[in-house]
Amino acid sequence: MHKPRICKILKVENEAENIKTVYFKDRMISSRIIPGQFIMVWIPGVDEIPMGVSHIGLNSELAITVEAVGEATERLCSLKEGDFIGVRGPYGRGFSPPGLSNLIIGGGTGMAPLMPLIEHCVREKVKVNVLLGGGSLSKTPFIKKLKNILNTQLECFKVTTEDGSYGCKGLVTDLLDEVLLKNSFERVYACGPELMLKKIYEYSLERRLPLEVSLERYIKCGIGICGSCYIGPYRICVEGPVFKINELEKIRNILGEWTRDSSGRLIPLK
Amino acid sequence: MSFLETILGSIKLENPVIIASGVLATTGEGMKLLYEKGAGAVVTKTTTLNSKPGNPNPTIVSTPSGLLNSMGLPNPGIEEMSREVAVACREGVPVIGSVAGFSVNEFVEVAKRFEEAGVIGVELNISCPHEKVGLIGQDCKLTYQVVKAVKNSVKIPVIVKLTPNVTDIAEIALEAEKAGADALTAINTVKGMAIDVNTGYPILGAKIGGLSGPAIKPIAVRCIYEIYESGVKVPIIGVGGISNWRDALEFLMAGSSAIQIGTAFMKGYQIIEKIKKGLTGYMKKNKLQTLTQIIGIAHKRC
Ligand SMILES: Cc1cc2nc3c(=O)[nH]c(=O)nc-3n(C[C@H](O)[C@H](O)[C@H](O)COP(=O)(O)OP(=O)(O)OC[C@H]3O[C@@H](n4cnc5c(N)ncnc54)[C@H](O)[C@@H]3O)c2cc1C
Ligand SMILES: Cc1cc2nc3c(=O)[nH]c(=O)nc-3n(C[C@H](O)[C@H](O)[C@H](O)COP(=O)(O)O)c2cc1C
Ligand code: FES
Repeated sequence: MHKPRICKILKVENEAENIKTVYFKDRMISSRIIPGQFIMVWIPGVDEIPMGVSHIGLNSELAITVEAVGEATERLCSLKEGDFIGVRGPYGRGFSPPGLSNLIIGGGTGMAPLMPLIEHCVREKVKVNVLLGGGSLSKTPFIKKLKNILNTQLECFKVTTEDGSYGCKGLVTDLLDEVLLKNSFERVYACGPELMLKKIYEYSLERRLPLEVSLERYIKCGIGICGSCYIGPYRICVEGPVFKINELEKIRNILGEWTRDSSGRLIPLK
Repeated sequence: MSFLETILGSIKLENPVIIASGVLATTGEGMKLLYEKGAGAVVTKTTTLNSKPGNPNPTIVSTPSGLLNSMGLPNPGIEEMSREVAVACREGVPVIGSVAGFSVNEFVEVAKRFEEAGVIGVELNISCPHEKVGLIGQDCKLTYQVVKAVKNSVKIPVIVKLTPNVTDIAEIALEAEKAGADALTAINTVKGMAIDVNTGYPILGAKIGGLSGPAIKPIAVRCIYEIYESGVKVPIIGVGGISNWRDALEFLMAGSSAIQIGTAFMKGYQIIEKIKKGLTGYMKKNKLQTLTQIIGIAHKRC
């Protein structure tokens, strides 16, 4: 069961600079996955790495959106239609189902696991507001896809770039006041760099927002037995990667401060 | 005295369910949590002098009745691990430090640092199947050397973890005892491999790994039976494929004074309480007062 199933790559799309979306089919995953859960992707002979699922389509079609940051992700980004990858999962806890009005906040590829949630909102015809932050236009994924959805159904879609090449100049968290002043939300979801999530967490705590965030740690087994992915008392691969605001209380002092490398050593995040 | 109390030389445990090395006890908070979930003691992830990133992924792949792993002893090094351990020890968690090294001196150094951090004992991992340290446990002389050196350097009990990947496990057990081991743990994982037939690639990043879980239970029971039969006087800690209280009972009957669980954590933390409850129920039903009435009884039945 926890063994990579080989599947053929159906299509590879350029999402942004150094970011690709890779399509494949796997019935085991598509029949049970909840947005926010992750899968383990094996690139034979290279590595096996955790990835959020960025599209859950019909006919068991799935996609991952990968940013090339190292050996495994670079290899994954260089794969072509017809090549093979191995997948196992889905693992961990996903997001709760959307409410009637939802705010979704993504930072860079952190938007990936939030995309199926947006797809879900659109299908269910519930309100969805999206904030997306990135470094610059060419490096920020999903802008085109989200604009297309915007035409049909997004209530509001705002982008920030650090260099101002698209949308507002600045950080995605700069938009919180503006958006939250005008609306109230039944659910707020966020995924992205941990410092961004920390800011959103502190902000939400003050205003009692119903926040859920997806976190990252070094994943080896993905099934909760190796202990490499602990954040405080939680294993990211079983109790996470998605956490509700009340659960974050227990890791408040480490959030945005420390992560662990492959050996388990503490690494400062700043 | 509670039903489940057990004695391992000078170590007394509230209950015989110990967390096997390499499974979840990687951080201080992880160790605390395992104790809160009912464990009698917690063995840390095997620790070396310097940090080790472990082998490339995949480091785990399941088989029909167990797991193959080739973690490669990832650990932050004793400096950082002793800080993690101290967090747990301060709160009264009975922690056993799992030690490995690339030289006799390294074993000694790591064991000493664990002792300073407050552990109740050390477990020498001379049996990891996908690391050089595993070779020690396959050789009587090397086993003797390592155990003796550590024994001479620490005051806390020294437990030696044995490998099943040998012709005669009892022979190594006796050698460890001769060198001064206070207890023995058997068994570490059994060497194994998996190949993906679609691509022809070995699945594990390290190619060869160690098999654990239900598949190895009969091997572990046999090993414990043989060690006990050989006449060693020190207590044995049984490990390998224990998934429920009946498995645990079988290990006690074969001659273990305590048991460790690893792979069964795939079912969640509740496994600890389930095993304790099952054992307590069994003892009550059979009007037994202490675990010593069960330990090794299979040897009297032959
Ligand atoms: C639950 C989860 C979901 C993720 N989803 C996505 C996604 O949708 N898209 C995306 O682009 N990235 C995602 N990531 C991050 C992605 O797994 C890493 O970028 C990737 O593993 C890097 O591998 P590499 O060999 O290319 O880089 P390396 O050069 O090996 O490392 C680069 C960075 O990635 C980290 N990393 C390496 N291996 C792992 C691992 N096994 N587990 C966790 N971190 C690792 C390293 O610590 C380092 O910080 C996710 C991570 C997690 C934990
Ligand atoms: C993921 C994993 C990591 C392990 N790491 C270690 C380790 O660091 N040191 C060690 O002595 N044994 C290690 N082992 C072996 C276990 O402690 C145990 O001996 C073996 O898994 C058999 O028990 P089980 O069937 O209950 O898992 C590991 C086992 C697994 C599954
Ligand atoms: S990755 Fe192994 S416990 Fe989470």
